Amino acid sequence: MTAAVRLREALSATRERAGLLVLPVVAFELVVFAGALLYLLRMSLYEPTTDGLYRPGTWTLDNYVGLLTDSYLQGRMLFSLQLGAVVTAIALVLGFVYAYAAWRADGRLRALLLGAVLVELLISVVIKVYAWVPLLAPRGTFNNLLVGAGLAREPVALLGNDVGVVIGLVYSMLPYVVLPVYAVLTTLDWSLVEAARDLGASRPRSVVEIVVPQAVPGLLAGGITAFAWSTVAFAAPSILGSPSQRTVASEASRFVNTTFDWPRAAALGVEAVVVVVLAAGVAVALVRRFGPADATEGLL
Amino acid sequence: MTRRRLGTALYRTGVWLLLGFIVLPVVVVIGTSVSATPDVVFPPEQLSLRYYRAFFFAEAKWQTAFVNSVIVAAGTALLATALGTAGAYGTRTLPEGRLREAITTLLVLPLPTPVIVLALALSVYFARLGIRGSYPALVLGHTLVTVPFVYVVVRAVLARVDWRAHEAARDLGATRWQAFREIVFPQIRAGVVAAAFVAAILSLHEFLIALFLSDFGTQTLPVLEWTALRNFVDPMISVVSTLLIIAALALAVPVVVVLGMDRLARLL
Amino acid sequence: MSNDEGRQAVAETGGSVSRRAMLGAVGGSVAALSGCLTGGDGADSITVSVYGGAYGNVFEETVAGAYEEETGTTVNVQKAWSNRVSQLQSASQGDDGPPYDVIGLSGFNYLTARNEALLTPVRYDNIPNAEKIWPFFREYRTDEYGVPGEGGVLGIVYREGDPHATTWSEFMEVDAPAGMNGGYWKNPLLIAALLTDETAGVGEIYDPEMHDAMFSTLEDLAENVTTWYRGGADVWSALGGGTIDYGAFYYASGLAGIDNRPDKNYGMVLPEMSPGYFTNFCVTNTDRRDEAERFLDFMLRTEVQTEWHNSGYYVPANREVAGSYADRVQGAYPESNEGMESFFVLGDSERLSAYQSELSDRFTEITTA
Repeated sequence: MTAAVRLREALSATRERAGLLVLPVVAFELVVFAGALLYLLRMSLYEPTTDGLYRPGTWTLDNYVGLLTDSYLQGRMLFSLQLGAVVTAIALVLGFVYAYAAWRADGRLRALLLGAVLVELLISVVIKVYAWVPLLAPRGTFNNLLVGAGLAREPVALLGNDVGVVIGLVYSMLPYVVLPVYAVLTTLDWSLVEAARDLGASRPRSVVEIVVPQAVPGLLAGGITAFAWSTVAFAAPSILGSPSQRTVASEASRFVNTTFDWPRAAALGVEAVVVVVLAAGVAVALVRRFGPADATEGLL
Repeated sequence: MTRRRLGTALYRTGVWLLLGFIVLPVVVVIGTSVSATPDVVFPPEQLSLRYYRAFFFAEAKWQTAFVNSVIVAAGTALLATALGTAGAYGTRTLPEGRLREAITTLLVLPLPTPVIVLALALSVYFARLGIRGSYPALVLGHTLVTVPFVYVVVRAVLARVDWRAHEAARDLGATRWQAFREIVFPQIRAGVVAAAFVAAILSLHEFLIALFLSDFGTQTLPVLEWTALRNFVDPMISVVSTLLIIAALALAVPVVVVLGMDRLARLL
Repeated sequence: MSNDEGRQAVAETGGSVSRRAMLGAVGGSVAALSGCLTGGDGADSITVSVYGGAYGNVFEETVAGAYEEETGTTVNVQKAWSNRVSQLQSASQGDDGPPYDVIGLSGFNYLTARNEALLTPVRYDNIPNAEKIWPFFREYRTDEYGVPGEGGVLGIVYREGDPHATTWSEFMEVDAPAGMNGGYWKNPLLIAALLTDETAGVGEIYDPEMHDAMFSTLEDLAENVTTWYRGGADVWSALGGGTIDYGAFYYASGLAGIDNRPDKNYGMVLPEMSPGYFTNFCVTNTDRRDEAERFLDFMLRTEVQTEWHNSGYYVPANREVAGSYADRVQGAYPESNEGMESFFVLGDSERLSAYQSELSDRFTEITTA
């Protein structure tokens, strides 16, 4: 069914007045977020000063110029994006498999799988990231297993590097991928997959060619969330990583609380938002171009 | 035939491994809460209930913070779900194009904003409005960062709704609300409920915005947790997390008993 | 007694409710009910902001608790690490009063709060006990805003039996994994400056022309550092998990932490010249100025300072405690003003303010390399 036909149906079905339903949330965003964002923008245009937080009444673009020419900070931005991309990719794959399994499972198993995810969500971010420390430490659970089972001669470095941070972030993001994908999968008709199998498609192929495209809206929702959050993550890189895993959030925090350079912090914050939105926009555009027919209808 | 069996075995192993992956840190957290010593080690070297005793009998500030957290989380879940669902529904009915994309972008913008600068900006903004430190300020702040998630999830499930049944119902005389309630909502219910739950959870565990927007009387659990984390990992965090899990399971048990496991799973 | 012992005591007596917890519960529920108001009313409560972790818990039990017992005024202790001045500044932009009445600050936090006019000068007529403070503390950064309360220096914590450094220069020589604070540049740079010979003491940090030499020393130091930790929890975690064999850590916190871990064989050594800090307890632009100053005077009482010192091994600002230091630190802590001056290797924030951004950037880059 082409987009135009569906659109016409959607419009006539709901009658345009339903469009007014966007007003409350847009109003909310304009009042609350725009207020904060304007303050941030203004703050990024103040001159920094060594005698305080910023120099009131001034205007300058120096903060942005300094930021964009700072190779260290742009390196941090790049690292943050890479971290976000890797975590999102892994979380999407694992999240899809898990959500699919929950969808296909019978009562007890489904409750167990979903229950586990919900229980994970109930635990504070701080402690569930910290729980990985005794698990990944050189004398921790995994290394004891590896060395004890003879799979490694000496402990593997799983903490204080990219590996630990990626594990911690994937763990944190997984529920936010599983839930939307699962929610979308519940609207799916399994008989389509059965039909494909009756026609001779192998089991993995039937899933990849029928289920995955249908699940794309859920994958997009989870993917956008996971990418945005893990790019500007603070807790996991801080707790599980070394300074080499500092993200833009770590640097922004340093500018706010350590060097007391608020204009710089604000400029970095604005840059992070712009870069991530652009990156996400590119990803969504790619999905739209190369993905299944109405893949991005659930977002744009 | 064997290749298929191997494939199935791989798939099954993968799922069980994933389940283990999800559950393992949970076990560590619960283990920490019954540890006799304050360090986070797994397995715990000695067991003790001293921290549970401390929570219930001595640590009034943790109890107050718990109550504050629940209040703010409930408010956030309600507001974010209402705004996000309505927004998703309304945006969908707009014609595809610039306006729709702009609204979506606006709603998604808070997600990649580093929370430290967002918290700071909100703090100044709300201070100037005179509401800083109040429950409404916390709810507004948390709604800001949870609405995007509600929005994208509900948009995703709305994309899969079969609108023809909705159109048919409207043609047969159902009001907009009836048609929504009977036809659309059952199809998106899983998504809305999941999103509402997540919004509550996000608020429950959000630290920075809560730190900047709360006062001594309204401070939430994460505010206490994070400050406890720098010098030694306060087992109180594990206790609170474990109690939350126990509370959730306790709520779930009567539901399971009444509905039965299968029906519950079908509802989910 | 330390917070852990306090909790243990509660647990062992079968949960009998401590007086402090009772007051806290009453105060907490009242505060929770009035959650829509900011701050409290009248002088029957004040809010004090201090560092978090074990420090904050000790402060709450000894200083705040004792004050509550004597005056009946509730003391709300807000514990946090890095966001306090930002919080204070952002909250002060409205018409409601500041979120704290008293705030303990050192270094750049103190300087920034002062420069941003977030503090009110202290009226020494109301704080007679201030006379007992070591002159060194009162003169170092002037005492117009806030009274010095306590201080501390860095030591080296280690695991007995494993090789470790006993002086800062050995940090570069001992072949064992080490830990150092990566969250804030000042202490590591002070150590680097001490070890650099361009000029006496830490002079290199104040002279931009010597910064390169100082950072070169830091890079040498960094080669042995496997863990740039963020805070105390990381240090105990890293020591216990085997990631480090020794680390630079605050002497007082280290001793207290070792006391709480009797099953581990950790030790603590204090090198001769060590970077340190001391905290000024300041009054914000609050209405409760009188009460705040009363609290500060109480905090400086010899008995209170002694109890505080015994609970956490902090160096007390009150010189009358000098005769009765805890056994653990007897002989290590100075008992004269000249002793205090040479004991604390400080980085004058005011002199460093022009370079602090650059120093922070370069330090961060080196730790990231």
